[in-house]
Amino acid sequence: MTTPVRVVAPGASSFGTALRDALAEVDAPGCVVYVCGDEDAATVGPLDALTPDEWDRRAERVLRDALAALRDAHRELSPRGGRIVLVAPTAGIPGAPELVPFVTAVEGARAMAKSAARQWGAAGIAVNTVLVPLELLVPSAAGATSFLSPPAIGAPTLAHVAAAVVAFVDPSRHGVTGATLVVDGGSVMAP
Amino acid sequence: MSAVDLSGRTVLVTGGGAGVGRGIALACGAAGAHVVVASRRENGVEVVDEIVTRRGAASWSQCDVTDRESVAATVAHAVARTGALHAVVHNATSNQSSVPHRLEDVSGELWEQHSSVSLRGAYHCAVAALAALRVSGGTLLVMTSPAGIEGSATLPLYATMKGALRGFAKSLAREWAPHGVTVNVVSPLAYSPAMENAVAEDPAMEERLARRVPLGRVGDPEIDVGRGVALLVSADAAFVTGQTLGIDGGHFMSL
Amino acid sequence: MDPRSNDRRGVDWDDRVSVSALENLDGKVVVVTGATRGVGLGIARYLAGRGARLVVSARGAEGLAALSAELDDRGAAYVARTADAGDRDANFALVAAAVQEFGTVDGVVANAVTSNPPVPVEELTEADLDVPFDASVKGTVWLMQAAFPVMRDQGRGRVVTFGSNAALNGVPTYAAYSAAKEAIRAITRTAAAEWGRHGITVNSICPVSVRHHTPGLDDPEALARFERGFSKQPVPRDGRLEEDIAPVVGFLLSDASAYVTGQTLMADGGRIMLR
Repeated sequence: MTTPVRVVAPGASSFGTALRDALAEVDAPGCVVYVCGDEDAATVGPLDALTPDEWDRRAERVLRDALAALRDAHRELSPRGGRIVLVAPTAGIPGAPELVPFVTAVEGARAMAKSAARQWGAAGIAVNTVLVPLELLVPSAAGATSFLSPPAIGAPTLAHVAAAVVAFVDPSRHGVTGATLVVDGGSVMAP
Repeated sequence: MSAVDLSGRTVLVTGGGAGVGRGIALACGAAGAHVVVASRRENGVEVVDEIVTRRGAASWSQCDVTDRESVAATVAHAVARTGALHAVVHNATSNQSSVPHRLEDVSGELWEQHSSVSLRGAYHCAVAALAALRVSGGTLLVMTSPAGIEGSATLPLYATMKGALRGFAKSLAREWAPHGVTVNVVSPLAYSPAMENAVAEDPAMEERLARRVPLGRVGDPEIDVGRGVALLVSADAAFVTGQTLGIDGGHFMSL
Repeated sequence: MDPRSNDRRGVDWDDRVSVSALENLDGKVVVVTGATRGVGLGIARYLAGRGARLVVSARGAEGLAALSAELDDRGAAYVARTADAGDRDANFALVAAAVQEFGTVDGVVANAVTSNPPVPVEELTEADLDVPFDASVKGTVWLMQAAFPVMRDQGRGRVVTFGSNAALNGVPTYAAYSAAKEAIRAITRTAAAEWGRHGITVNSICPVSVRHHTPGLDDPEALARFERGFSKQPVPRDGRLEEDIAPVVGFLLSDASAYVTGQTLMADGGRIMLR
């Protein structure tokens, strides 16, 4: 009997559902995957045109959701240890115009995940991040990162994104925490 | 005498009443800028006095960065007083910034304290200042720290905010580039009231920290950080945008 | 952007493909240089355990003999050859051996390196710089070049190179070694950008596992001091070769990493949280 990876994806995103399906066969007790972002948060538009409420929904809420997910995971995994994976868009590394609140939240969540890795490492909880192309996570926001170099090898399929997540939840990967794995076919190659 | 020339420029510094913010304000004043010292408390008035005593130009604006109207009023003051606004340095952070905490125990209240000042504060500064910065071809500067890049074992919310501000700045740099406005990030290592408190409680900490800094010391807020910021808010840095500059004696090189 | 719309060479497009199966290394032909000690030995053992077919190399015949005996015991399929890390002909011969024995090469692990004595920058000699550049920078390039035609023609390949935490941090007295390691990471990104169209991924790993080359750890006090050195990092211990380092290399050699290229992966217990 398999214990599937628990995938938490706010906003009922189609990516989250597809990722959950792709991971369904994987037996991984003690593993939680959190998908950061949804269509509402990643709505493209200039910062100065936002209402304060929209800023809060796209920046604040996304960050608070990430915090809640990490805390829930910590509560669940605490006694025995486990593995947490944050899935977020690569757009946070180069930045993306007209996605300011969302990228703010994504980069905050990544720093939060690294802090969690530091605080929870001794308790046997690893926290890592997988970054994927924005268009895979939120298809409606695809245009916002059109300035990026095209991927050297091609755009990743969901199966390969899932495989990268599996790589981090695999119990054999004990020594990896606080890491960020970019799965985008070779578009963002940060030094 | 400062090598950087900010004469004719207006620079607004949030959290300008103490620590790194005060250092930035003093350095920009010494470089010839009119400095609008924005602070919640009246310690900002003393900074204004010091700039003026040194024959610089400055004015105080009471400013609560968590309050959109307050920030808008401060920007309006700057423009009304000098006719323009060339730079906004969003330096203010929560006064809880250096209080150690565990991520799993974070309360909604602590979250709000951090986020309202750092993130909503940055948002307020940006939207309030954009119009004036477009006219002047100016710049917005936010502050980060190694914690924002590599996480923190003791201050996870501080790290979250500082990481978030980098994402904010890079995205805004791309968005505002067509308007001729630059956006950058500074990562300072300098004495702040919080650090001074920490050192007072544990004097050995200062030496431990200094040993890990290649240049062998913690920075002075005005001479070290302020002057670097003065360069970034000057016309000389007009081709620099979306960048994170460490002004930290080489403490952290993994940008 | 439709993820199915890009170049399909060398990749199984069926979205029903089993995600776990993507990590399968059974039968994959992999060249591992510097395979008789430390990180390279851990990788060779791990890959053999996963059913890979190996070409292993090292400078010394004795080490190779010991490794060969081990691989024989495991029933692994392998070829063992002596090779100096920076020797172009020797690197090409390794790939030729893979093709001759196993019919192809699926991955190369450019692990071989020479050590460098600590030298402050102001005292560096030309020889100090030449040693790591000749051995590890050129050696990495020669191995990659040797494998390229085979990988290009089959539309699939994996290159794993080695960076270093010391180089990322800027550790005093390690200038020559660090320069070589950063050169390798630059070559990794460049090759990734060039070879992506052929279905070849090129990535770096920065491993930290130092126990095996730290002397004097039989002494309990020295051991305690050694272990304390890791107490502040997120995973508070030294990396274990087969359990911590090798599986990350395994991921990079597998089909699971088909869309990971030009990246640096850390296997260092979270010491450096890159990006």
